[in-house]
Amino acid sequence: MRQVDYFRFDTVGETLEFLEKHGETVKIIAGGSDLIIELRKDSWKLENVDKILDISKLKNIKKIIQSERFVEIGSVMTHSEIAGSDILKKEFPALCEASSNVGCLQTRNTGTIGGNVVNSSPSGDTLPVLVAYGAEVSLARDQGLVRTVNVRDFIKGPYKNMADPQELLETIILEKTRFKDQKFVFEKLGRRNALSITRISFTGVSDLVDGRIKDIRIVPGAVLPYFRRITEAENFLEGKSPDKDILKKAAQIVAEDVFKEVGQRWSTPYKRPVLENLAYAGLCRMYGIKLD
Amino acid sequence: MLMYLSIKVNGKDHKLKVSTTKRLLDLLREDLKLTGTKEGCGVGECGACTVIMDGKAVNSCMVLASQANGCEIITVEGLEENGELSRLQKNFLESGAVQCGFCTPGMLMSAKALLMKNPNPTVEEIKEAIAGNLCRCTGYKQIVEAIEKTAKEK
Repeated sequence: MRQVDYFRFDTVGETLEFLEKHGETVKIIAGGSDLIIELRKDSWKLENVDKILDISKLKNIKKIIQSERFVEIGSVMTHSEIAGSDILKKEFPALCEASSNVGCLQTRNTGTIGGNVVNSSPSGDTLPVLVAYGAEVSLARDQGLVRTVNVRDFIKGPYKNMADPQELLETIILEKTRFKDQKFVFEKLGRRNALSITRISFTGVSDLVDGRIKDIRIVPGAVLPYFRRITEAENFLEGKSPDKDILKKAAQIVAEDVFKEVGQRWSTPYKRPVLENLAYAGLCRMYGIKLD
Repeated sequence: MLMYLSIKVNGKDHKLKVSTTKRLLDLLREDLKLTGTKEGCGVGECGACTVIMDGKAVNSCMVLASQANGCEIITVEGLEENGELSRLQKNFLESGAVQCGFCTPGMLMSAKALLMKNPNPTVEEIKEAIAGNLCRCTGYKQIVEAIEKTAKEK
């Protein structure tokens, strides 16, 4: 176990003050489900780190608040709390679905949404959903400095993001969709059903107006080093009435677009048809179309 | 760095001086000698170290003792009722839900956390609650039955 000092403050203000002074040598801990394992491995990710700062008990960032247009999720809300939130179930059901699919109950009871975002793993289950909903993160710094960044831009690559060592991810901000009839899906494939780390996932969110697809967002997970919408497939589906042929074609576009970017690898002959099938199954489930 | 922490375990208050990087699992096993809680994988995949922290099932290998400061913990040793095994434990024995026994403490704690929140779970809810607990003897059916039986008796 790597030996580090432990700090915990009662307020966000004191936490930010501490980060301003010591940020370069501090690792923030919330749920700890990733960090404690890294500490035991003495991971390269903890180079220069000799202090951990516990934010899991900060009341100001452990709540969900909504206004007319926005929902703000405190970064130390656990996956269990996200999955069980009535506000989120109504406004952002795909996020609840993703959070309820993280690891197992024990992990969901401690692991937080902020941790998922800051860890920036390509397998992070809430990340593709946050990108689909156009979420932003609010990064706070001492002296009242705050900046908001789109989750899509925030994640730079595997385990890399835009947060400065002096910054604290306070909240995740989601603008309400105003969909009339929200359709959504979060499908994931792991090596087994429970307790698994996602190998490939598929997120879809859209409105359905008079039987036609409107404002669709499609984001695959764990296949790219970061998360982005597949606009080509979205444009193809926009305005169409979902049926099997159309969804199949859209799934092909998703797979083509992703593998155009990642290129041919040893795993491609396996992963490409799997992503295509997952996207097809996901889109069918999203619009209530039975698979053969 | 060492720190003082107060923690309530199985209804008893403790004040302890521990290393800041000690895991809750090690505090329970080494400082409090509560060795019922087992370490399996140490990376949150097997559930053998499951305990109840403030009413919720957590893997004690993935919680720092310092994070549990001020919290209330229940371990498998806390299940007994008046010096006897609890109904849940008895039903595990009667249903043949204990084979090699290594997963049993974790299974019991996941089951207990479920029953505390939901006294009448469906079979699906039981399976979901213990999805994070691996039994390498694969005796899941009996484990689910034992939990179901306990719920019905209440």
